[in-house]
Amino acid sequence: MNVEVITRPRLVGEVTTLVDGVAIDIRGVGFRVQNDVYPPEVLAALLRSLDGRRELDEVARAHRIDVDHVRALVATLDSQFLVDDAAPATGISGMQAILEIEDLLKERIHATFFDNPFWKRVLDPAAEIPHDVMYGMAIENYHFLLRETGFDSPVLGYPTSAKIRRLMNEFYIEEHQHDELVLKGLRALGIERAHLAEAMPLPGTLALVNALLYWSTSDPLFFFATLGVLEGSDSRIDSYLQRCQQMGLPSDFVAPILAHAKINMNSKHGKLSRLVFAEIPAVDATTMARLRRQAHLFVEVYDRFYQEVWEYYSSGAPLLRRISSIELEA
Amino acid sequence: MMLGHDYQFSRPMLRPGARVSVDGDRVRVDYRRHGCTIRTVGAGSADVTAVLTDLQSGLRRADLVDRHPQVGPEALGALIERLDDLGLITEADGALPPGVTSGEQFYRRVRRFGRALAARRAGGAFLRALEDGTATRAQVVGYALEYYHIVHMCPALVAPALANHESPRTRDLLRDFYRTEFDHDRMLQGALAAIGIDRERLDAVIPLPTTFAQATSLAAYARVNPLAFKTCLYLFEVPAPRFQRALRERCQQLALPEAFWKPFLEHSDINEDAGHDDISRVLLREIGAVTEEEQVTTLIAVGALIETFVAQETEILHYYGDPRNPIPRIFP
Repeated sequence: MNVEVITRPRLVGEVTTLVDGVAIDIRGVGFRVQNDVYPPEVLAALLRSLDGRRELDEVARAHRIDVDHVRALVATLDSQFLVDDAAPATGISGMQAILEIEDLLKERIHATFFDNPFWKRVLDPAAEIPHDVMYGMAIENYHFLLRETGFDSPVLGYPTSAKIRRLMNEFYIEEHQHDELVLKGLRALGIERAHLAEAMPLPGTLALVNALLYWSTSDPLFFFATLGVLEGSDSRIDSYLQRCQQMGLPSDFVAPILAHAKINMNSKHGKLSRLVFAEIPAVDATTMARLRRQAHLFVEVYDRFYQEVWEYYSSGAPLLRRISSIELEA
Repeated sequence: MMLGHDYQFSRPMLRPGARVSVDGDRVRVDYRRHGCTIRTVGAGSADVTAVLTDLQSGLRRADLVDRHPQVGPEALGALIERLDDLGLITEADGALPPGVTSGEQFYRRVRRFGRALAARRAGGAFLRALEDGTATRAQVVGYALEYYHIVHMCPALVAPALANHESPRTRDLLRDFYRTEFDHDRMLQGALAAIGIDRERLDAVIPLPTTFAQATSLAAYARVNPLAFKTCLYLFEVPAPRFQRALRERCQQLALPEAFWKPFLEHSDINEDAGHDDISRVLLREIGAVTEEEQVTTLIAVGALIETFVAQETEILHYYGDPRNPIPRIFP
């Protein structure tokens, strides 16, 4: 048996002194405690003083009983689940957890996106940007949204919070068919659904999609933390759209994408991480350390996504990497 | 609708490290590489500075409103919201709600709940049949087959839990658990071959619904509810010396070969030696905080499994006690 001794033990059940020992009664189930060293009344007094308000050492001193004997007794009681540990749980509130992760994500995004070739140019009104880069961003965004049900759905049944389930299901419904809005914009460029269905997304796009699927299935808490960033709790989507308008891209292309951004903004999807974490009462230290590690990874994966958009679509290569055209070259 | 709402800070506070400075009618808040300037009119800068000073100590929202009547709750709310949009605000209220407990403390609740539930339901039907000598050969073999199913499926049930993000210690524990369980079915295959059920036939056998329910519960929790998974493991690993003794004696009475019953008894000894009977406690000890809703969800899972174990004993006696039923359970 691997039992660590409780530091603030609290006995459950009623104590009765017997001639040859002590009885503990817990809802009709009886247990007997016998000891060769201490008389029943001493044992009973000791057991009654295990009220969770005092530490084990203190209790031992008060009753002038060897502390090792008390430890052994408490361990035996614990092996029968007759004592509770009154020491409080450790951890921070879910809200404090997400605010810390938000801060870390923000700091990482500022640090990495500052050097990202895509964002550097989008945010600099004087920088030259090929139109294909802005179109390419929409294409990759479409690929991402097309696969969103895949990575959102694993958390729809989140078993340990009814409120989180409701939030995620509402979000899921609101996100449904957002790929169609972007598709509408892409149609202005002559790109059809069938073309996109056989087009290869950039590897960085699939890397982002698969990372999110991995997190939503194996670390839902961290997945929830990414939603605020993905749904644009900052002004990045605005900057992209403003730049599209400033570059004079066709309004048939811009308008549906703008509509999509507005839906997200009006539904405050950028605040979703917070709403979810507000329903998580406690996050322990190990979990927090894990969330921090994943946050670094997530921003790096996200950063690569934008880097690849710039590298590929600024190279003059075709907008779509269709499987059929690659096969023709073989 | 729940979306579209915003979180209301109970004790809004400027992030530690944020600096407030005043320059004429401008108040600046700087934090790391970014910050903001608040332009005020007239005597406003003193008010804004006073609010920002208070925001550095993390007062309760209501107290903040009371202390700055000249600013008013609406302007105060707007200021906090704007600062929050810029990532400058955090929550100073870190109190954990009542009901949050440590994983190990929760385990004590689980075991007492399990005890109380077991006391309500008269279990042990199969054990009684072994002890009073009414369990037939077919029923004993049936028990062995159902036991085999769980052991055989075990690696596939446990493996998904290895994919969950956990602390390094928890990962080690789960991996060790998996490693020690992963080929235990082989020794039982030999045991069943000793009574004429060879591997080929064995692969065609299907479990009883209650056995299948035990397996699928564990499989489901391993995938979607790690806490319930870790908690329920003890139910499969609790040592039962009285049962073991009764099983051996009944097998001997029925003249079942030693090569059949010995591996089953040895298997439960291995689990005990590997410390598996304590596995849930050891795993839950790694969890710092468990919420009340998580606890209740998990108690429901534990309760259902305990009831399934009770039902399984009866089902084994009924199914394998009826000569019209195919034994082993191979259906064309």
